Amino acid sequence: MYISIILGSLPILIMALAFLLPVLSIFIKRKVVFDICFLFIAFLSLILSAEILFSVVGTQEYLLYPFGGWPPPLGIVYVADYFSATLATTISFVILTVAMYTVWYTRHLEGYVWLYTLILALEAGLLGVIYSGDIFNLYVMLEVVAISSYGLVAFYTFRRRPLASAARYSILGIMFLTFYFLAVVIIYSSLGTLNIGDLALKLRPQIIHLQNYTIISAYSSEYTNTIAEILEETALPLSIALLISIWVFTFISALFPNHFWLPDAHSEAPTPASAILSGLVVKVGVYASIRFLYTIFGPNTAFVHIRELLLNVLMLLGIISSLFASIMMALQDDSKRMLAYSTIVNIGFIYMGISMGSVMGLASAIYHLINHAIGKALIFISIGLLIRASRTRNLYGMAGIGRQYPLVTFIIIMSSLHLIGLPPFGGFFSKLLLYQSFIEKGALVPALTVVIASAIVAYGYFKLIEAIWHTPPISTITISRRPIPILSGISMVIMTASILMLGFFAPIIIDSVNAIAHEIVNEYTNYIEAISKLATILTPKGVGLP
Amino acid sequence: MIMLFSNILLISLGVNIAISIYGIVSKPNMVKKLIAITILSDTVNVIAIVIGYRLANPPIPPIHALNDDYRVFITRVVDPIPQALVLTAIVIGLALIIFLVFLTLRIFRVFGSVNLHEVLETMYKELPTEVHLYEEEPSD
Repeated sequence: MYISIILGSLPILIMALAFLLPVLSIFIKRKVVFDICFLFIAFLSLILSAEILFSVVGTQEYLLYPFGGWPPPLGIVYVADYFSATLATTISFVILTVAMYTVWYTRHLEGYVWLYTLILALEAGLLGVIYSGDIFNLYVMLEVVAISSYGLVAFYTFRRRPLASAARYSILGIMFLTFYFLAVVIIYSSLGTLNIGDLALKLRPQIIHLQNYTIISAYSSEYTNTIAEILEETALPLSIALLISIWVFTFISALFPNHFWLPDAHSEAPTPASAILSGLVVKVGVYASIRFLYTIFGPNTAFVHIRELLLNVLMLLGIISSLFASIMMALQDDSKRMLAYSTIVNIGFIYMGISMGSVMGLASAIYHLINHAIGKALIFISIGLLIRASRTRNLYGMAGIGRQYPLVTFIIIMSSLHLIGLPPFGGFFSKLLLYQSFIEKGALVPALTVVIASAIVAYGYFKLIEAIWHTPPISTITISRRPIPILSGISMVIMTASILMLGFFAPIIIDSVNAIAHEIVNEYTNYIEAISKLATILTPKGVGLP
Repeated sequence: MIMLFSNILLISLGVNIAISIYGIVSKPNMVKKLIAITILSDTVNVIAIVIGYRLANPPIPPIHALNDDYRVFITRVVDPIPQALVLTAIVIGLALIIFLVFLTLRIFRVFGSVNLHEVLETMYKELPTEVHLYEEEPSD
């Protein structure tokens, strides 16, 4: 356990720098200055989150930061374990590469500062959700993520489609997140704590009396009843709170019955925003679901029956989600809508992996999550270049445009193969691991679903590639070829290299995601232990705790 | 008597939540949806305050003076954490309401209506292009 000031200051620093940009724009009018500031902030966040990941891996210990110096169950604490440090580094990496594209995208756009500010605020919110060790702070950071995404979807406020999709997304999003606040209040009223480590300890009464943990349980429990009695009395409210929170997380990550806002919202946002929304924002719901289903309401708590039921429902929803969305994807004519439906397919796969409840299933879900984040951002920004050249999003309008840009088409083909799941790329190995985890438990229907949905998705991507490459140009207007912008070219090459590396180093990556999943499923006590060590350090000597 | 009041309070909070969900889901008017959202968030805030309230006689605010007796203080004090949560939630709610008001205003200016059913019907009449971005671009 180490206390790290970088961990505590990272989301706040990014947020403060993000809102410095509009203030600067009053005095400075040159776009170059803001481009450099924007790229610098994104790069800074990548450096700092990579530093956190290296120190977590190097020291084999968790990194923590207590805000205000309060011992954990009393104050807010940020925690970086392997899982959150890895995810945060992925998020910063994707945002940096998309930022390089955004600089080119906004070259003729007025109000580019607001796009930069919204993207950086979104990044601060995403990092806050990932690092937060407190379910109420998680709510606050989810609201930061949500309001930045509503702003990004409604970025073109003078156009009809973005406004209407943002209205539907934001009204339902506000309603769902208010219900998550209700669930937080119910959990607090039942157990008297908001800290994730403390909740994980209180829900497992069999380990609460171990000597290591008395310090955190002394702060907020056993006032009138013992914890076992409290759990017996509050079984119903806690189950309801668990159901409400998982339902809200499926809305954020667009699982089947709550997916209807996604195709409109993600396709009407500006292209860099689509890349971030589709690649990263939906993953936050997955992360929060994993925290709730494994760290807090884990398999050895008293809530094992309701958890099993919930996992079965999530498995069913994942199957429906991937099959339905893959068919819808193959039917689309709009390139960005097609990619948005592909996101729903992959979210279905990830939830299927989570709901197996095994180490291998969770490991494949985490691997697939990272693969999809990078691959989807890459294909969105490269399609964005072709959309700009052909001036339309329609597949038939884009016919033959790929011949003008062979390099971009090559990158689109590679990222499509990555997202379909074909061998040299990372997507193949994560789908293979997912398939193995189903076969291991003898679940044939999910295994078949992965194969069928991948085949239908492959049809959709081949339709896309065929449209931009093989159809002869039908438009009589000859489109003059323009050079590929340098910065976005660099970012596309970096991302292509990273999807290739995700495939080439698959054995190493599978070992590390297995370690992460093993820690989440079996060694949940590490989390509690880190929190209680921090509480021991921060409690002043001589304070008489009951 | 106290039981009666607390039951009435709980029932009315439940009814409030039901009314606000009905308003959000089935009223097409954006302004009515906005009002329903404020009702929902206020109801959840009141639930949090009720949960933090301690039915001691008399309940005292969570401020500890140095010469107070700790034992009396602990048995009578109102829980401060739900109040802190509600303060934060009110601030967040303010930001969200301002965003929705701005969105409603923009929708009214662009569509000429705040009826979300009409808005979603007419939304697809516009072509899904990003052409507007590049129209002012110099043709090199």
